[in-house]
Amino acid sequence: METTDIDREIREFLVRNFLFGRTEALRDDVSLLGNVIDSTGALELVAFLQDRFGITLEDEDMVPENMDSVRNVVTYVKRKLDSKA
Amino acid sequence: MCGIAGLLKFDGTQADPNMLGKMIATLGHRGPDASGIHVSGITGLAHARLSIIDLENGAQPMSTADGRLWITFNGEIFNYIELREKLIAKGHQFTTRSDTEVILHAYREYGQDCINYFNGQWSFAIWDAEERHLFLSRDRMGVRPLFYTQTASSFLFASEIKALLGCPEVPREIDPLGMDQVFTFWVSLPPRTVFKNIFQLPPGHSLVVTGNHLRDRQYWSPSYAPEEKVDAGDDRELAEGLLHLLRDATRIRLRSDVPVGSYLSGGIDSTLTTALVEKAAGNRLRSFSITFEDAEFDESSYQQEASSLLGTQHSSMCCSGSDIARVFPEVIRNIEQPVVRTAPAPMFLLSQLVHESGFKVVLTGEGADELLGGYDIFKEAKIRRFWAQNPHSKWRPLLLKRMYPYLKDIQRQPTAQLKNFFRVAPADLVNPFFSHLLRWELTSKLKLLFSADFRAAIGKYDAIGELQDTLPSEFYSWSHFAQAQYLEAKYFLSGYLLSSQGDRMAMAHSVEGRYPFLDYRVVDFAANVPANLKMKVLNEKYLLKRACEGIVPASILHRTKQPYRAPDSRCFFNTAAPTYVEELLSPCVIRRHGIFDGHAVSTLVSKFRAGRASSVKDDMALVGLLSTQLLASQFINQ
Repeated sequence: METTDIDREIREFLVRNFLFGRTEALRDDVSLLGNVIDSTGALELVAFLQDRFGITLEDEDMVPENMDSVRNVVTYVKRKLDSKA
Repeated sequence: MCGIAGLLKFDGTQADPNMLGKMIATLGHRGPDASGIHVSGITGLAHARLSIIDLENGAQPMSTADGRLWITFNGEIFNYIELREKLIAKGHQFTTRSDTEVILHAYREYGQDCINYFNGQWSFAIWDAEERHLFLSRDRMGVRPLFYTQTASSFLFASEIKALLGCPEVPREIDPLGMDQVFTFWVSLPPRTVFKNIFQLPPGHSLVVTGNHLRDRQYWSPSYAPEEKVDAGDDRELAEGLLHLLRDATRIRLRSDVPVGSYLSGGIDSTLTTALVEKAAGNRLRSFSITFEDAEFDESSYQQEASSLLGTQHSSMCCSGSDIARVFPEVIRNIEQPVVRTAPAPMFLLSQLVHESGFKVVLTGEGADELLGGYDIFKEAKIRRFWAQNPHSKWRPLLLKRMYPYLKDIQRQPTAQLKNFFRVAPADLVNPFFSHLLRWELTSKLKLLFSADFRAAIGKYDAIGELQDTLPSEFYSWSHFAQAQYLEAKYFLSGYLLSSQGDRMAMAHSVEGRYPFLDYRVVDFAANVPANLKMKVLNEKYLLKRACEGIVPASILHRTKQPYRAPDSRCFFNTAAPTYVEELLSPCVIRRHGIFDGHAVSTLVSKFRAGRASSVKDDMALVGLLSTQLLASQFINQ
């Protein structure tokens, strides 16, 4: 899967699921955690990533380096997919 | 308890008794036993009475014998017996046994400072014919409501906003800034409300109205000892002192000429209150509670245990999600502001049970969590600060799991994930709102639902900045724990718990709540208890638990705290959901009220219909949306 496709799907999910469909509210310069995803909503993101991309998220993967921006999430997913391939 | 209303004309015309009659008629639920109107020239007072003290002679509006002072009063002055004796010693003569007459004589004796002598819960207006002004006052903690507005010709006040909106001169408009506050703090910041040009008298304030001139004065506000001046204190002595005050606060709150019952939730606060009531009253007490079909919210086993051990005659009502959805429109009509939780609805049903059982007065444990450190938000702030002292510690963030044990979605997450959300930036530590920022930021996300026009009306308004501007200078000398307590006690307690979940839900069925923990002597005492005795390490309400030993059953004393919650948005999405839900969330009604964005609403609603909504934010968004739509339908675009 191409990085651009992963990026698009993750953005669409975040906007639809956490921002009531408001595309303009997803900004690349603010942290995802806390600003877009709330503490109880995080499980939804995990479920989405696992279901949509067929990857397994380990507890220790859930660190800001993997989760705190769209770019970080995309990079993380891409890495997991590549390691599966 | 009662409903009050009144007006003062400043355009040279006379007060209209028909207008007063219309206003007070909207408050019949607050006072179904009798109603009265008094008009004298430019002013008029109205009263709907729920007879509780001096059933024969307590009718209102009431005047002094010389007719100089007239009063309309909602509430109770619990120390009226002692005050009456004091005033008699000073030469005052009484014709009734009511606390209403005590207020009149106290005003005559002490002037506007009379309120400093009152121990109670009140809102009242006194027309002083000699001074030609109205004197209005609201109790220290904001137990009883008081709203007002000004038109081109009149000043008008009432216990509830609906009485003001009944006047043709009063515009029916939503205030976008008030809405912005509710969608940040869960409450509007007094004096603002969600209705444009309709204000609430803040708790602990009085207001003098002379012609069209208003003079507002704060006579009381929660205050805490500076951090360096708080003594370590002796647990045992402080616990005894607290219990002594609570006993007396309960004793004077049993003053009533009708039977008094109690709410028994199954927690420490209401169990202690019930135990103290039973001991003071000396007879078998009636207690009432809510149970839930859904085990996630139900505390019936603790309620039954407490009732059985205390020997009360207990009645409960089982609340289902369908019940909540069914009564929600009526709940919002009484609350008169949006809510992001459905928790008031079961309280509405509970007061119905109390009313149908023939009771007018109940004592409850409200206030203990704010005053004595019971809330998870205090624990959350404490853990986060502790972690921030050593951010690289491996074990400190493990404490995050100790927060919110009843929230499954928090407990299911690995600590690594929780760290992402509860991490502390260096700037956070010096933020005066450290304890509450996460909650406010989460609630603020719901504003994404607002329409473009509504957001434009809000503009660059900064609700948190406004709140910061109102902080007293001493705030910065208080402990972090006290700062968090202040925010809860000053805003959330009066604006939500005592109003949306308290006065409005009880008075909807003509029931008066009384709160021993909110006796100002208890409040002042608690304010000076060291923070580490309120929450000892992570043991919440430690000092209160010490005070309860031997009174509250050990099983309740040491149980895991479960805050009162109710099923939220799931109530509105099932096959039995009332038709109003679909109607209010439909694109045309969304467009008609203009507050929310149609696309954002449909995105949220689709998520619920697909069964994908599960977060706290989604729950709050749906309840906030639906309650706002109800408010607009009931009060604005009827």
